[in-house]
Amino acid sequence: MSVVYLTKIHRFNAGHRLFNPAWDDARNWETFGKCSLPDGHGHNYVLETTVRGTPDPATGWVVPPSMINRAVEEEVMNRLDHRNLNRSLKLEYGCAPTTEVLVLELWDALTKWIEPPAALYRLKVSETDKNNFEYFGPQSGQPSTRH
Amino acid sequence: MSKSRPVHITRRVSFCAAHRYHNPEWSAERNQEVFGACNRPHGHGHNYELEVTVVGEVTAETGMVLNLTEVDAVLQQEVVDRLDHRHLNEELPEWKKNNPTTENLAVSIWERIAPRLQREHARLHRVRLYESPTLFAEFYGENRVSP
Repeated sequence: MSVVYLTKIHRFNAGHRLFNPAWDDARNWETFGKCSLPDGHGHNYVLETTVRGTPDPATGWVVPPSMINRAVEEEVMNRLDHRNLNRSLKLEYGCAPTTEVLVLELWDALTKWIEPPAALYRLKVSETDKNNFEYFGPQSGQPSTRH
Repeated sequence: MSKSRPVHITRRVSFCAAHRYHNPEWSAERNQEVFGACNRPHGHGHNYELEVTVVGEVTAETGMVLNLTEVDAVLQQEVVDRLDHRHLNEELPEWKKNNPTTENLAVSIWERIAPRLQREHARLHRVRLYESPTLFAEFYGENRVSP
């Protein structure tokens, strides 16, 4: 069986402000810099959704592209596009809507839409063309680093 | 078993440098045969693009794996300040004898930045160095291979 990785790219725009509400302005400025300015700012995000699976002999697809599109439409476009991430994210993995926190929440939202035997393999979110954030899903065992 | 949620963060930085490929133990003919245009006596240059990936757990109180300003400071000091607009063979002692190929540069950059990006919850995962848009080398550390 040939395992293939299929990636679909979507773009969305959103605003955010990075700050820890438990900290004073000085500490927020020291840690988050301009990202903590009170009225927020925004980015053009690029989301790469990668699904892993074996092509279906009947269709040749790992998953129908519409499966990924529908998931991203519901979970990303409708919830986040042209919105304020401080309000639209749950912020359960961190105090601020960093792209790390965003990619972790997107995994939780998108993974259930990918039907077995295919599975979500990787999410990559580019905040600018100078940085990006990737997540391969939770790993079992001690908190450690993947290699 | 507890779950870990390692996120990969990638920072991209550019520098420009000149180099020349030459093995002083070989004849001029053999150098020419092996290295071709890269052996021309006065060197040539590239626009390098470096992608540095750190993997680690998200710190809840910042929402970050590692503050990108810390990554930026390391890359500025260890890479840009040392290499940008230099002739690598002529100006840097480590490339007097060894060829500053993209492979060797990737390993050398790893060795300089890995200790400075090491944290209890995070570490350097990959160095990817583009010599041009059509050629890059990747290094994952001693005795590590691509995931």
